[in-house]
Amino acid sequence: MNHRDDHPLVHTYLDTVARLTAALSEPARRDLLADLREHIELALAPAGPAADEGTVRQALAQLGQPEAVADAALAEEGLSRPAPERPYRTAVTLALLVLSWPLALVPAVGGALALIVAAVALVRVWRSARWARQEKRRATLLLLAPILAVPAFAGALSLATHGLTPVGLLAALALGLCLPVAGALRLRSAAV
Amino acid sequence: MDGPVASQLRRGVLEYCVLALLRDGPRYGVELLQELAAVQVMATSQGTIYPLLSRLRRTGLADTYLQESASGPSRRYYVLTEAGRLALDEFTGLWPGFRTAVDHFLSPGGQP
Repeated sequence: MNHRDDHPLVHTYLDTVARLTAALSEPARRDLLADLREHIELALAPAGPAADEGTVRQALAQLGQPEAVADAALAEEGLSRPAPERPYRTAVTLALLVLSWPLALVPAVGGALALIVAAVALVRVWRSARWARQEKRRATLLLLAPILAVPAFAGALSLATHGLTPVGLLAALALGLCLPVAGALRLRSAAV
Repeated sequence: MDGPVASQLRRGVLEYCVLALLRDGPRYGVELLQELAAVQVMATSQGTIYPLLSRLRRTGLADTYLQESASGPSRRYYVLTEAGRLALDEFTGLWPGFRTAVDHFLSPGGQP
């Protein structure tokens, strides 16, 4: 949705609108972001690709606060901006994300426990208004990644060390489990 | 500065103001926004009008096309559709009676 050559301020602006309008239908949201992008590109066109920060700020100020734009878009569909989620709720969601797979190490019930916690974490992520769909998709992929990544790492290590050692297995697990942690960290920094 | 009363009023009439601006021919999108946002009552900022323009497009009251520009990126033009013209005509017919009725209740010493 964001282009790589966006000015950082433009990137932040569009990203904020995207997150605040997570409740919109996908076509409406895509339209809105495309319209805003087109507007910004037109406003910055005279200044060329090297538009200075003042010009960018002015163009964005003319569009209005991201909150105001998002509210207008939500109102078109009879929606309103949800009250922000309480921080502790977000913290619990992120903690569940990070803890889910390591819980598999609990004897006997570990596997089931890990699956349940992972599922709960995903439901909480998707029901939250803190993140845009794109962020939620990315976090979901990162949470599920160890399922493929751990065997892949273990395979690679066993090839490198001629047979899988317990240390190698632990290393593969640790590497794989970094992925959900990365997902949680991304979500934490992207939360609105 | 911009309370719920203003935004509720706006919700009812803004789209017909947009249709009215298109009555005499296609208008360049940015120019449309500037005219609307210049009148404080109609919009708090230019960006807040895009969701409305997008709905007019989706519901077939207005259409858009891109036109090459000699300087810079192509410009998006908005044009009234037949359905849009009908909606505007209907609004134009109803508005004077509506305005009179509201004035009637608001004016001091108006009818009990």
